[in-house]
Amino acid sequence: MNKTVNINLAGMVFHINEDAFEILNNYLNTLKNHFKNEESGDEILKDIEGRIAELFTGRLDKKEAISLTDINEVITIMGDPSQYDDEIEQEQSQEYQHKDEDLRKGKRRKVFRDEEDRMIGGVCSGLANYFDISVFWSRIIFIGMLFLIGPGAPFLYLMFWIALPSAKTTAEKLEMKGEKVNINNIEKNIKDELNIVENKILDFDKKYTKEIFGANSFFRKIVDFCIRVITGIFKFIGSCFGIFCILFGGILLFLIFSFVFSGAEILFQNHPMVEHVYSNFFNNKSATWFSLFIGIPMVAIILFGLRLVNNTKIHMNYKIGIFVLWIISLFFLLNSAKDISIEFQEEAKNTIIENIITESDTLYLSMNDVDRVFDNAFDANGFKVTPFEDNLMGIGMQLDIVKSKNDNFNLIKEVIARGKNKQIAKERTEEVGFEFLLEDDNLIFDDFFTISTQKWRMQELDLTLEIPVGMVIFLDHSLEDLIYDIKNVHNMWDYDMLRHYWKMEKEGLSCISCED
Amino acid sequence: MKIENTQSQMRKGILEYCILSILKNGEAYPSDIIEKLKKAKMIVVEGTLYPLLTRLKNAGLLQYRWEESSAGPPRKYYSITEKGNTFLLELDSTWKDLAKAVRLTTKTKKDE
Repeated sequence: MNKTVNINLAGMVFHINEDAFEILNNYLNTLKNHFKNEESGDEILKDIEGRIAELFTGRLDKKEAISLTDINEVITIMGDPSQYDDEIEQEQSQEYQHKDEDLRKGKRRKVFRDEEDRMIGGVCSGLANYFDISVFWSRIIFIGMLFLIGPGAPFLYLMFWIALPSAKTTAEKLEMKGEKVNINNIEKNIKDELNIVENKILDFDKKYTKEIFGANSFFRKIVDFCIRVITGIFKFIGSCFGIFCILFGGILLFLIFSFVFSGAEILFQNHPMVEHVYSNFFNNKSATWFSLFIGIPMVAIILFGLRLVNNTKIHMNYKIGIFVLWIISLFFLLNSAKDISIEFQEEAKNTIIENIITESDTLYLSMNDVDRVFDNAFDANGFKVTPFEDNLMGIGMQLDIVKSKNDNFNLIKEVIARGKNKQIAKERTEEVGFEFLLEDDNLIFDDFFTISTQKWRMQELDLTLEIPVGMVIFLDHSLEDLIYDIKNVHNMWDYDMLRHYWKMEKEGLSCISCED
Repeated sequence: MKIENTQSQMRKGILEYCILSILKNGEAYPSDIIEKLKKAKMIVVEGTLYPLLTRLKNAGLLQYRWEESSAGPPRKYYSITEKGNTFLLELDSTWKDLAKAVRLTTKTKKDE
């Protein structure tokens, strides 16, 4: 039993066995290919199909379906294209020989529209062939022109579309991609050109009459044209978006790469914040993953843009590969981020109380007023942190002044730090140091605290000075940045409390030098 | 230089001459022409003829009309045009010259 296929050959319907159909289809395709560059190739093909239909009819007197034997016999009768002693091949080979010679002589090329590589009408690709540039650039230039001369550009395009013939024959396609302009050939070329113009007028005449009266093809052309214009507009919008994607992705990618390869990454690594806070995050490895993580989407955007502009397609395997790489980079990046968050996991607190022993009943409070240049400082959790000798230096601690529970001046240093575990956090609190100087009745605070490590793990220092009742302090103006929200019986602002004597009463600090 | 190229070039011009000559005697459809050419061993496969007919028609040397056929699709009946007749006359004299030339040159060789 055989499955049959119905075919329509020259307007006649035939039942044909499936295997026979395959052979016939191949044969007709071979012929089609053979005649594709022939001007009336379609017509020749129709004639041949007509003849085949005739041969089939002769064979179907006693049966209903065309068999493989029938096909093979018919093909033997009609012959293989290679047996045709055909003009085309010779013309082509002559043409090729011509081309070889012309190549040596340096013949110039002609402008055609390249319909094989077209977005709308193949104008850009045709011009690109003529000027021997990538079609990509000619499209970019066209879109650029759209911005420069606005609606003039589509009009110009339409003019080119109408004016330029499309490259149909092999010879024309060769000429389109042909060779350079050369003075030697100008005379010959002018003659060629005149011939072409003459032929074109004749052709046009012929086509015109045929197409008007063969109403079908005329209307089809109009419909085709409209469809092409509409799809062209969509493609054009797509192209604009594509170019935007390419530029956007390209610029970002360029920034990433210049960042990674120009050594800017090292600058970044030397940034104190990175060095002291995220040092175990920003190492070479994570920088690579980071650039992959950002870079891959940029590449994807560029490829997407290229596809819109130039219909460049990427093989699925590459897509999957790139995506997997991106997932891997994300994984490692998250892993690095986890490492850093672990570093801050636990918090420890350490309180140190120092007695300040003085004979006097008045203590003059001031701060070492050093004009520091913080060129390498970073802000961390409300403190300014800067490298200092081999350690870190924190600036921005606050001093509160309260009533003492006993008869002594006490300075309470409250230190907080973080670490992987309680133990490490606790050790870190002990690495924090703060100094002050007691000279007679002058108490001079340092303006910074030291962290005897390279790592900033949210070390914080809070100072509280306890004043026994009945004692007096003087707040020097240098304390401006140190004191914070000090309670007093007058509810005065910190800044207004400076340059005054304050006595600790049972109710709290009371100004004894203020006028009111 | 391939022998096939030379052979096919020789045959090509002569084939056109033969087709025009066949049609000089009246209109015919491709199968008729094929029969005659096959008998004369000018062509081996039928496919050769169709491109030639179309090219000759495009050159204005031939014309055709459609005729319904009982045994298959409509047939193209080809006939020679006035231009084709002129063309054929020129080919006739060219052929005579060529035949003479070939006869003379090959004879000379034989004699030597």
